[in-house]
Amino acid sequence: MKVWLKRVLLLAALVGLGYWGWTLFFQSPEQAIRNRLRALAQEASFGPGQGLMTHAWKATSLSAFFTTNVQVMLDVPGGQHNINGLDELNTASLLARQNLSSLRIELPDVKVVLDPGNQSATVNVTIRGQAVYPSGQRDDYLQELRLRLIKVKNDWLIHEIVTVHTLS
Amino acid sequence: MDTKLEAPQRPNGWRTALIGRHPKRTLVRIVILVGICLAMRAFVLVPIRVEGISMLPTYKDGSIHLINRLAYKLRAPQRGDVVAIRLIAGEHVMYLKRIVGLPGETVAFHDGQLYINGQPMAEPYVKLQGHWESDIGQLGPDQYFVVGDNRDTWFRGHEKGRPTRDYFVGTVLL
Repeated sequence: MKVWLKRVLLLAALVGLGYWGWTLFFQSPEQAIRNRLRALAQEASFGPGQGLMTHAWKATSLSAFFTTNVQVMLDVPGGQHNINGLDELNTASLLARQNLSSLRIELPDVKVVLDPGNQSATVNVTIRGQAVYPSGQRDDYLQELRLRLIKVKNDWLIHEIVTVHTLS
Repeated sequence: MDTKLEAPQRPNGWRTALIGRHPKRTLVRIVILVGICLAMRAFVLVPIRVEGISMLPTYKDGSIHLINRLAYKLRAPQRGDVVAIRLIAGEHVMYLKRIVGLPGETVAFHDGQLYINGQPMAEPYVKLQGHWESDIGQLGPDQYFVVGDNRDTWFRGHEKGRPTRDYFVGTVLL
């Protein structure tokens, strides 16, 4: 391999490594929120064949992503759903897990706007979901949501979720 | 004195086919080509894959098309244009809808027929006719009314609305 090509590749590798190290050790609030939401989407997704205990444990593990007085206001074609507080959210999450055989959630777009002081943020997020029912029926969902997040002890917690009607 | 005669070295056929006779030039060409593709993707053409049935039969579920980002740089959106509409969160997922109402117009559906300012509007692209009944109302000075071509759907479940021009990413090119 030519020397100049080796040098270019080495330089590119060093730049990549440096960038990766920088983002790892000096995570911006925006990046922290993105990672947090990505982790939430992973935690909320589940595959088929999980037992009741796993469902119960996973459903409560979502609590770590929300404030205790979280408010969810969803206005979707199926109807309006309001959830007040963490207990109701856990119940709804467990119910959804029991009624579905699998759920896959993706966040193709996340737009973070930090408030002055970087202690709270508004996040617009596109959610793409695929739910499979025990009958084998498959439903695809696409919804834009607006989240309010608050920083509590270095953790970004979701405090409010509302539906965004983009076309309205 | 011995004289050795050697045939000129011919480059390996596969190597030549893959990276050319001048690797430096090939690398530069690749960089330029990638740059052009990225610039085209960012500023001119956006490839999309249609998901869903709301634009049937014009655009089928799973079909792939290109969005022309420059469409509205020189002209205003027109009735009948099929536009990609971005969401607030970003552009990885967009709506694909047809403009049927222009700013200031009054839009309504009666028995599936589109009415603009009280007058029935011909829509040759609508092949799947439903029985929608709704007075959408008057559009704002910068609002357009967009809807899918498939009207044989549940009215409330069909995504439609009145976005402003700044949400339009472009028109469908292919």
